Amino acid sequence: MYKETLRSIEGIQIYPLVSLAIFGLFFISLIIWVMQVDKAYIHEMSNLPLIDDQSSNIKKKGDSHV
Amino acid sequence: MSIERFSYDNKIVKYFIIACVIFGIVGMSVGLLAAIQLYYPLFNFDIAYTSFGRIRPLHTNAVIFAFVGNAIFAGVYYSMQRLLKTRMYSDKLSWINFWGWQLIIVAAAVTLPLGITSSKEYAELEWPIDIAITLVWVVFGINFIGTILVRREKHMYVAIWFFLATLITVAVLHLVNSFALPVNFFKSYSAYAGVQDALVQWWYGHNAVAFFLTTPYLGLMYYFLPKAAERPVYSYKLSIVHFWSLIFIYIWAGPHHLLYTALPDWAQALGTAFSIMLIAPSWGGMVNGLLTLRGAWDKVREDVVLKFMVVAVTCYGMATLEGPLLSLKNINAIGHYTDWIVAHVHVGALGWNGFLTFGMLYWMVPRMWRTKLYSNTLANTHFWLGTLGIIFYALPMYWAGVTQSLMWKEFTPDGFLKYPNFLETVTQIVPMYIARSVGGGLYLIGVFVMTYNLIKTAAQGSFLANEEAEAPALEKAAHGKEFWHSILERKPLLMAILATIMISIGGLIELVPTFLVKSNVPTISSVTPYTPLELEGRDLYIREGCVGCHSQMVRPFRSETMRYGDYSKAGEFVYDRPFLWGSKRTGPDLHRIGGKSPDSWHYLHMLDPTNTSTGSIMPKYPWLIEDELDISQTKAKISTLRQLGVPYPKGYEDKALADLNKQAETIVASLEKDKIKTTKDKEIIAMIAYLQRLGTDIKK
Repeated sequence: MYKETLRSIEGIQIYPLVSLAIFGLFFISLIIWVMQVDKAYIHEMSNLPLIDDQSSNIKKKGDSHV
Repeated sequence: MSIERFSYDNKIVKYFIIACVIFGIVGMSVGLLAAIQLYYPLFNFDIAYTSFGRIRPLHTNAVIFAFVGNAIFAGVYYSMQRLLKTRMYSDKLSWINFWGWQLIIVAAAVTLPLGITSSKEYAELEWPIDIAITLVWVVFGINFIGTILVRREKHMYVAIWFFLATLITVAVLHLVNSFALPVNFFKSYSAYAGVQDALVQWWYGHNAVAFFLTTPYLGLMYYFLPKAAERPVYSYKLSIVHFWSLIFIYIWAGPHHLLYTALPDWAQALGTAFSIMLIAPSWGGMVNGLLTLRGAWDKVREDVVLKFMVVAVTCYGMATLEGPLLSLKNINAIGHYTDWIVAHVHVGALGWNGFLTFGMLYWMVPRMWRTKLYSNTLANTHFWLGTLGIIFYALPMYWAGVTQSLMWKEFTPDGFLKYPNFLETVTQIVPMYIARSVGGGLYLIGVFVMTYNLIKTAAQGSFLANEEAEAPALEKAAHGKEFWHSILERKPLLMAILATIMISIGGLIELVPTFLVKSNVPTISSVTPYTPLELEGRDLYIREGCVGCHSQMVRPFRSETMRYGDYSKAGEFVYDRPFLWGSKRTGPDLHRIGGKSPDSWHYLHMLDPTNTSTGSIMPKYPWLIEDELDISQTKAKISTLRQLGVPYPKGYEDKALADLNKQAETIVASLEKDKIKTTKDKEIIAMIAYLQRLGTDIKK
């Protein structure tokens, strides 16, 4: 019954293939981008939670600004 | 460059923290009560409002939406302002968000014990509350996007993306799953039936775990863990890959809740495949969290915040490996419907959500009240109570789950079930239920210790409602070489759209084929709509939360067809709105219960389950015996269901009550034969009618 169910939907096989292709392309371009991305940018991004107090809190005005 | 002065709103965070702690205690206490009810049915108190079936959804809703929900808002409101260097977009919207959410929680706490429920797991609340949730979520959304738009920090840190994905996906899930047609203010019928309803519900249910219990907490992890460890996240690159692959893959995995059910095989296979793929991004996230502590492990010995966070991230890793493994059909065949699943979700809830929340609270409260934590010793005590609590909770449940499953499946050498009486498999694991409640109790005591510690901390400090800050205004976008991802981070709406597309793909591919193609749910000619009396009985079954302990889905295993009868077919559920397949068998499956025992058995059993089944842990239902059935809505129910496509003939609602009475009389007569005197207007009559109908259509 289940196989019949599957066959009864016209072109069902294209659904998973298309979605896998979309994700595959997105994922591969993401990896390629991540591998060649500028180190300074990554450094800046990863430090965002740590600099938020220092750069914006008046009480710590003397600390380094970014 | 002009420096702008502004202030962070700490007051809203404080309120969410208070709500989180209060509802945490309430939700966990109700959970402990439910756990005790399972070995001391006395604690159901023989009243409707406190019986297990109604208390269980109260526990899950309180813990998920009240405890975790308020923790999410507290963490998001705290971290977002600081990451984006701005106050929240609108104080007014913040407060509407706060009070609106608390009102919804109160409404849930009132309606669930009253039995006003849709019975769909984690979406039990009836339609007026669903609309309120939508409105409050939109308010949160406007405030959220508004804050991003007025930010002073050019880039959006990865935590913000996780929050954004949460915002969008929860909205989509809630809207799609809550489609229902109201009968009146307190009752509605699902727009989906049977297999479709099951698929939509578990697409929702799974992703409620993904996008309410996971993605916002990953956002919190990416903010608070580096804060507490005083060092940046191990790999920001990994966090980017983690984010995109997680939100894409998670949305597909819902059908793994429906393996071996009447759901079409292709959907089951899809669910399994994507669940296995999910290990990669989940563990990527876990590794990223743990490696953030590289070179700082000595701090974990000293700092209680880090202790909580390390255990939280470890539990996340364990639960996200176990989940995919449970999605393999051969493992699922053993684990599903048992306490193994209860252990699994509690490793996630107590370990990941609970411990990350505690770590976050211990970190935020001293800072917001400008003081030191009142007692490190008490916090460490809490840590050990909580950790032992998790272990004492999870281990007995794993033991119970595997034991019971093996007993269900064990055959004698002659080919008969070794434990044909389901109750034997329950009484066997009662000691484990006792041990589990000890674990839950320890965990709850820990929360009380924390509450005391936080109150004392607040009392010795002075609260800073508006934390002054300053930052340069956001520059106009610089032209020149830019990376596409950094462009994306500057354009929140574009990012939101892309995230929506990512989460929609999986959902659409799963749901659309089932909706479009009628033949996808094979119909069986002998399956007919419920009679008015059966329908009323079914609504009582929903009201009492029977689905919390009884499945209605016989899987195609010899051990199940032998115990229960023929395995369940998709076509048998076409008039089930909502579906009642269930996800846990604390009691036996009921799909083939119809016609197995006389009416009098059901009567005596509901009056006091130990009448018919010695040692039963099921609550008594004396009110079903005494209370009169409310038939004022029967007509409206019939016409509502017809609007949804159930083939009741036109004008049938006018004849419905006559049919209802006629069927009730036959049940009264059959009870009388067994010397039970009752009248046809009692609720028990409708309940018996429904139970006797269950699963009998294909035998016609």
